[in-house]
Amino acid sequence: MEKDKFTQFCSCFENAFQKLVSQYGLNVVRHQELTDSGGKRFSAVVGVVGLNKGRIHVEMGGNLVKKLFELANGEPEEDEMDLCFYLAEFTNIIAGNGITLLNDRYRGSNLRLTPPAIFTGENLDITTPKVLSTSTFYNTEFGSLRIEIGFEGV
Amino acid sequence: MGQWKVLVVDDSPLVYKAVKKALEPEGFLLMDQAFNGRECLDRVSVQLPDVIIMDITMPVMDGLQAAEHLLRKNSQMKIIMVSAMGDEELLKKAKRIGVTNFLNKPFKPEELVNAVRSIF
Repeated sequence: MEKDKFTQFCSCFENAFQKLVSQYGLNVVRHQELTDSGGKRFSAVVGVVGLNKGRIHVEMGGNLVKKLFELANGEPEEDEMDLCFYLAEFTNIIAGNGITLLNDRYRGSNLRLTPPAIFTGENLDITTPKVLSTSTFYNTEFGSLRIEIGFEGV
Repeated sequence: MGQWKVLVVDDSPLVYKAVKKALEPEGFLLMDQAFNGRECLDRVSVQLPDVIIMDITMPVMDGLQAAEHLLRKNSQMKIIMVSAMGDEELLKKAKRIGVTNFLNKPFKPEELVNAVRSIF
């Protein structure tokens, strides 16, 4: 994939992310790195298949995923599984809205998503071989998050 | 006619909860959730819902495949596709299959209620 196209891809996912968090009224600011990477983290990975293959990875701390859950559902979570399912849906929406923009821009790409995979734990390090990726970090008053976008052949 | 029966087909229990919260106060009856397209086909063969609210990206069998199966057997089946994806190609395919309505995620409760109400 050409560098320019990859930049366009990242921009589409960024737009989808910004649109989603703005609906929650959450103030997010770009940052150089994760500011609260310690403790338990929640990660979701959604695969992209079609003309270009890649994956979207969203990672955040427990405090932020709890807050997002509450903003989206109007009530606190019942248990940790709720948070996992929520992060899966959050990531799916960013990825889905992002590939919608891409499919309409690059006709014939036929990009589709795979069901999300969720990981929780401390010191999580998720690596996908053969995929070159770029990470963007954001700060909110409830904690920080990372969105990593990777595609083959960049 | 009694309450309208709604079948939610989505691999996320949270979507079921959100749909239930939006539709039950409006008088709709939620059937047990189906978690993928295959479960949807099994469920429909036992009890026919009045409307199906179906995700696209699911394990085992996706929503479009399930909708195609159902509509081939019964073209009057009411299916609302709900997905974070909504590109022109996908919308065309859904329309070609015969899907009744398409709702983009994230959606507001009132958008869902309006989409379901518009069917009846």
